[in-house]
Amino acid sequence: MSASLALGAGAAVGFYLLVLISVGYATRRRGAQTGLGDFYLAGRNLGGFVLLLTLYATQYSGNTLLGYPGEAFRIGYAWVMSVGFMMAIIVVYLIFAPRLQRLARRHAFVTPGDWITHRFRSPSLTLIANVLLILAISNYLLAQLMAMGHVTEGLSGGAVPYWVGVVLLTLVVIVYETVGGMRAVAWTDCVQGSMLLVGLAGLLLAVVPTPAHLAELTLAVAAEAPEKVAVPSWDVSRNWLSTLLLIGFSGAVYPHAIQRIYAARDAATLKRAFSVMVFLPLVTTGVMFMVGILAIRELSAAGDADQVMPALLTAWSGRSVLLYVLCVTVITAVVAAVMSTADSVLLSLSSILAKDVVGTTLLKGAPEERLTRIGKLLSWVVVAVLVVIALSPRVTLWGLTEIKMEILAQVAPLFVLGVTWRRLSTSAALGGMLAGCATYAGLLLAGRPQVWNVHAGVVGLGVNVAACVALTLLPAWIAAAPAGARATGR
Amino acid sequence: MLLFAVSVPWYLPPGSPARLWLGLPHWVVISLLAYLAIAVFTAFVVTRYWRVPPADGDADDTEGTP
Repeated sequence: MSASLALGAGAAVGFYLLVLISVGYATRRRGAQTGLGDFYLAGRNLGGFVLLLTLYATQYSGNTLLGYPGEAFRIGYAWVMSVGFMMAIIVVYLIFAPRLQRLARRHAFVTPGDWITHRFRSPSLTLIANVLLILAISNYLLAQLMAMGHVTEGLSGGAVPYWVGVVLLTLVVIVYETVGGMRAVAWTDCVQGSMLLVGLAGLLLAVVPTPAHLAELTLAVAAEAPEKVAVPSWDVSRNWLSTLLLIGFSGAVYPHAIQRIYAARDAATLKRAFSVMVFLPLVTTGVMFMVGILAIRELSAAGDADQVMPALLTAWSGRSVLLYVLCVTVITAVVAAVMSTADSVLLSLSSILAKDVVGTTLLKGAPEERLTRIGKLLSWVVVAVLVVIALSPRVTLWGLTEIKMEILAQVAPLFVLGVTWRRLSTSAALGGMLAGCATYAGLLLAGRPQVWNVHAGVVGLGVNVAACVALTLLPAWIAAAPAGARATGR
Repeated sequence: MLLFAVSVPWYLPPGSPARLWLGLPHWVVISLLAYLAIAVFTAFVVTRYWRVPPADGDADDTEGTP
């Protein structure tokens, strides 16, 4: 990255971090925030505009802006699947969100575990589900902290070391989150979501995808790498379908996304937010897909997929002042995207640890004010531990992301089936989740992360759902069979 | 479900050369149209069929079967 771009981006990101801390403190003055619902769900009073932008900023992480163009560069036009799987998340939300929002309001749910306890009334089931959720989102948070380091190091051309990026950005997140809770997170998400939209508009202007330009681009790619343009093989199509299922079901049960359903002011607000959200993959992952395709022609075929975005920004920033400004905006948007996901995941993790773990064991029956203070303290402990892990280079970013989605998929039936299918029994839900996890873990241990190009987590989800259905219906059929036989006998 | 199935080009001969529609391979345009249709259909369903109950007046609930 050029020195002038690194300087401009550094100044913009520095200013942006100051804005975030100011917003965090400004939201603090709105209320004392002593209760769990107040601190973790902003008093269940998020309005339409804030809810939409916080859902948006949380759903699209730094991976969207850095990883997705790289994937399009690597596999070609088939990466159009990224538009579909982000849309699948919204479609799955709509299966259970309307009813869950009503129940959350009536029964004052704070964590995903509150729904599971209310629905299934099984401490064992809630405990196992919480362990899976904590495992998955700790993984996700770790990936975001690592992304903070990679983003600052990569986009500053090495001027800001990896560890400085991890520590500095994490510190900013933990400060505004501790002082303002969900209000601070939601309002900073508004700033971050707006930055993301402005950055994407900038990218769209830089790409200028007219049909004539696209045709020229597609022909050039076809000449250089015909497999990236031709109709995909069945292997790719199966993997595409598997990815739609995996991301659709796991993305919809992110704990921080579930908590935004709880935090909506009312059903009408949530309804408006979802009806806009469903279009956003077209203008978000769709733009990143086009940027990655453009990189196939602009960059060497042997280029590093993870460096696609920094390389393109460097190339574009030297062409005009307008493109330079747009590139600085995009870099700030990348930092914003990473931070907005990290703050939401951290807040969610803190709430689960405080309410579902400490609040049901060591501090059972403790007042909410005390649990809220414990939750804030736990945020700092969790962050300290994860920062130490993030500073050691023994884990890879993308490996963490995949594992997280496949674990979350095993919890999805508790929400999707649990909300929509009244007959689903507790034993069936528990049996299904254990069978799904065992299948996934078994396939991983057997060295089969994919079976016939289908993710092991999706195979596990299939076993999970089949077990839920079978274990719910079979006992009823068995009980009904002798009665039926007796009736026939008479 | 049908629109998601249409978005994946499993029904086209694998490896066949792409025709250009609006400058993009034809199967990419089909996918993007399917996703646009999903977005429009979902927004329609949300607007038309998601009934917003009066505040705290909803009797609907979901209880577990132990």
